Amino acid sequence: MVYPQMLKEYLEYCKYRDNYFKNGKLNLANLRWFYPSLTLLLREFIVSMNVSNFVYPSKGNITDYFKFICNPSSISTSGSSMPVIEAKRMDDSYMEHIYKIAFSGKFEERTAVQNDIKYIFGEVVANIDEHSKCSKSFFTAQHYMNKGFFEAAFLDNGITIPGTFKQKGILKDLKDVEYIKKATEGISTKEGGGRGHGLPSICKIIKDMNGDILIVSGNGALYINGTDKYLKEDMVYSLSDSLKLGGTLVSLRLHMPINPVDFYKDDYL
Amino acid sequence: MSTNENVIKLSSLIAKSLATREAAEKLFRYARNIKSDTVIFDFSDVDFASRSFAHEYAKRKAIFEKKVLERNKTVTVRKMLALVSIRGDSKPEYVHSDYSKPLHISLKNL
Repeated sequence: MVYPQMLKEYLEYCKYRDNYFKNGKLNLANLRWFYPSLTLLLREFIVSMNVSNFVYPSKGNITDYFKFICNPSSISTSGSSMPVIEAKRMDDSYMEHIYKIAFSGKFEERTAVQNDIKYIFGEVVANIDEHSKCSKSFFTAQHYMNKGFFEAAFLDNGITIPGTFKQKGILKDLKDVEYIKKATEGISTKEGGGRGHGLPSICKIIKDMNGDILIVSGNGALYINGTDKYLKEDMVYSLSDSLKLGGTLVSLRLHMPINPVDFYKDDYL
Repeated sequence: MSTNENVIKLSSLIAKSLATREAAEKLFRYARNIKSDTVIFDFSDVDFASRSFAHEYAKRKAIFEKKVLERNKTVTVRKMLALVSIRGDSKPEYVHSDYSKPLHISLKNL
């Protein structure tokens, strides 16, 4: 089966996790590359499980980077390396830092894209804040100049999107991925009008910006496909318990050239 | 903060980016404690307002017991507040391009 690249990253994490549960050792010998999603997932797993028994990646520079991200002081808003920050504490200075890292070099349309990204990040953080009931949430991002895309990832350890629906007794007896799908279609778990705009709007915006999104939550995964020619459409996945995520991962990729979207127009919001 | 007691500079009280509903709530909570029947929200240096912030702001402003004046709204803030006011509760539609059954994945398939 062909999986979207961002989902492959998640599945790779699950294999490492499963291997750790079976052998008591986190064997990362064959790890060749970190993208933001895998960075956050592995980091949170190592910290929350207090993992100390490793086989380090065989590539030296990957090992150095791995040690760097596992160090709590790597949560930072300064420096030129890719920072990991607490998502709820994302502020103006951090956003500026992200722009500096993400859009270093010549980047036409920078201002318009910055506004789009500010909107997207703001809505994801607001969702984490208002719905997840998490004790921890993390964010990181990187621009891969040579590969031609920008990737960002948010991870929280909250009650999951399906868990929020189930707790409120809204839309009973669906598969986890169906709850995620409903959330992206604008079904809100909050009372009162004017709610439930966040996820549908960011799905539309990211797709039109030449991007893709992966949402993994509980036993479900949803891939909004803006660019993958092999898949052609959005994909929904039911994950077995061995692939379950106790929280929510939102990953997005914007491919170069990023197409700026004027989200004040065309019913985006 | 401004020297005028009833002027609230949002970029100082909250941030240059107004992202969350909680930020709007904080603004009106702060404004309620000002000893004046009129409060002035100064948006100078605010470069962005999210839809969530704008919706909560509009909702709270409509029922706020004091007179609210606004100044120095940037174009992006104006646009977002106007959009919330025009579109009201109507939602953006995201229609998935796939309605087939979910594909099941387990570790054994990988």
